[in-house]
Amino acid sequence: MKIKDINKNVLLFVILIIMILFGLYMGSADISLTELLSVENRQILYLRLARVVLALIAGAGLGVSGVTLQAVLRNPLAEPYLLGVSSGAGLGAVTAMIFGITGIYLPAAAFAGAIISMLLVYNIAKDNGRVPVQSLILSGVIVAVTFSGIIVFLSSVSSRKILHGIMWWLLGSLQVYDIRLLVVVSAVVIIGIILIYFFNRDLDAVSTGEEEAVHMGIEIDKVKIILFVLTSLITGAIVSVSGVIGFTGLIIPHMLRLIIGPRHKILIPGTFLGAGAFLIFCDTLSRCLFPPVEVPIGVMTSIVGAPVFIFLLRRANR
Amino acid sequence: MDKILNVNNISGGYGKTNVLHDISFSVEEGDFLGIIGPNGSGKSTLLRLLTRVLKPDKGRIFFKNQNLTEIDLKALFRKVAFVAQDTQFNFAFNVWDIVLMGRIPHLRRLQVEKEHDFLIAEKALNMTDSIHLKYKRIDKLSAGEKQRVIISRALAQEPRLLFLDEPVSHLDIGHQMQVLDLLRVLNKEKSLTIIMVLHDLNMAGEYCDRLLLLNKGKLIVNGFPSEVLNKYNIESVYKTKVLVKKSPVSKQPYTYLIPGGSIKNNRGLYENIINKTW
Repeated sequence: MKIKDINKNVLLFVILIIMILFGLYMGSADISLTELLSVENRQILYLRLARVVLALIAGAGLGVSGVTLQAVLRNPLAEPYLLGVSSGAGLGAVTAMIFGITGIYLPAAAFAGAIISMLLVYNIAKDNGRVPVQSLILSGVIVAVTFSGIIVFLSSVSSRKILHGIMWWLLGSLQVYDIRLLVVVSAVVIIGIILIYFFNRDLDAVSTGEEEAVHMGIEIDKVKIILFVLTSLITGAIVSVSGVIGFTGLIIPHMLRLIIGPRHKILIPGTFLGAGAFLIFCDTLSRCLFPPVEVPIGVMTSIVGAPVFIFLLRRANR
Repeated sequence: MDKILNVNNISGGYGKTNVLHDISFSVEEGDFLGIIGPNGSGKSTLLRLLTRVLKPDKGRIFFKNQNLTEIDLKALFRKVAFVAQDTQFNFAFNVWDIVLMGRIPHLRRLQVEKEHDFLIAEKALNMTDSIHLKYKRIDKLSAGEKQRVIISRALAQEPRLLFLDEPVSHLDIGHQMQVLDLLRVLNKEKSLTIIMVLHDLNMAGEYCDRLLLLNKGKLIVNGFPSEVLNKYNIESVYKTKVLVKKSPVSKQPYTYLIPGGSIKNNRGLYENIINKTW
């Protein structure tokens, strides 16, 4: 039993390594792996490495956030963007663009927007120090719809250049234009995932019901708030640098549950590896299929992910 | 005998609406207590108050002479366990995963289960005669099998006090008896204290040593089945005519339903239906 579970994660690890190599090797410039390590190609290696790392971090973060929210909210349609974080980040970014803020301050503004929307969603849902799951989902949707409305309004009155920036945001991209941002985002995501892992048993218990979790001795109101804040921070950090990347946080958790089962002790590391590998693969395809045009990453994730998911689902039902 | 649970004048419910008013009773170690009452009388709310899902607005609950709300939640659920009426499983856990969850209150964060925990989980599955289901998926089990697994999970917590909220209402009579007989054995052999909400008055009379009858959030009677289950109590609370006799099997009170028995109490309503609608 246990050995089998660990083997599946070893397999996912091997797949991840292959994807990393694939991501480093593939690119519009045709260079072999050995040449890539030479001094004159250092720049290209760095560029590709940064991008592969961002894809890994973004995939892992979105995947683990999705796993966590699906368990806490006991809703198979839960995903990292459900609680309004992405539209908050979007509004932060659009507002910043209109005020002419650029460079490293743009993601900072987006992150601030994500935090504000998180606090808003939490406070709308809060009732006597508790956050009922249904209220949380509804207030997430309300905040998301409101913020999206404001984004649409702002984009309809703003210049073509800003419109382009907004489109980039909605389609998502894993381009790294500042290595410092990559470091900060990686730190937030990795620390966040490690902290979520501390709650792996709580997640098992709460996925069978909140009262059930209380009856296992879990302080569910506290745990829910901690996990809600952690997933929001992770998602907010990722959205701030790469825009909205759909599918990864919704379907990849289901896919990995079908492969390695629902126990979070195994599922969280598995999702880190599997979702990371998945996003590296999709991003590599998105920049290599029709160079120099990049296929938006959100398009790629759905095209690659949907058939695999349908296959796994049909096999599981048999 | 020591009091395992002492409930003093508690009131409580959801938000501002109080469902329960001024309830007091106590439970001794080794008791098998049944809670009965019509729908909406506050049975489940009482269990939620007793297991810290809800906080009482007034009054105090003592578990082994300690104030319930002041006990560390994890420490409490090493001694107390709960079996719900119908547990929903959203993900495809297998039976073994579910039963091992019963060890959560005994383990620190990130602490790995040891041989000791596996033995207890296995014993819990054996007690409910479901060890053969160990590697089956929980969502593929029948209602009876599922309920036995949930009871195993509760037993894996090694409780001294077990709460059950209508544990047999989704089961056929064979499985109902299987679960109730198991509870009786645990109560008599292992002196496990049991507090159970039941809908079926006859089963409550057969299996429980003592009964609480609730109505509209108030405790109406607290006593032996022979004291609680009489014609007057049942008719006044459930608003239907009944006949109460002694069971020829166990000499416990046995309630017979009388068809048409609800009409007398609701004559106005029925006359309305008959005269105006048709």
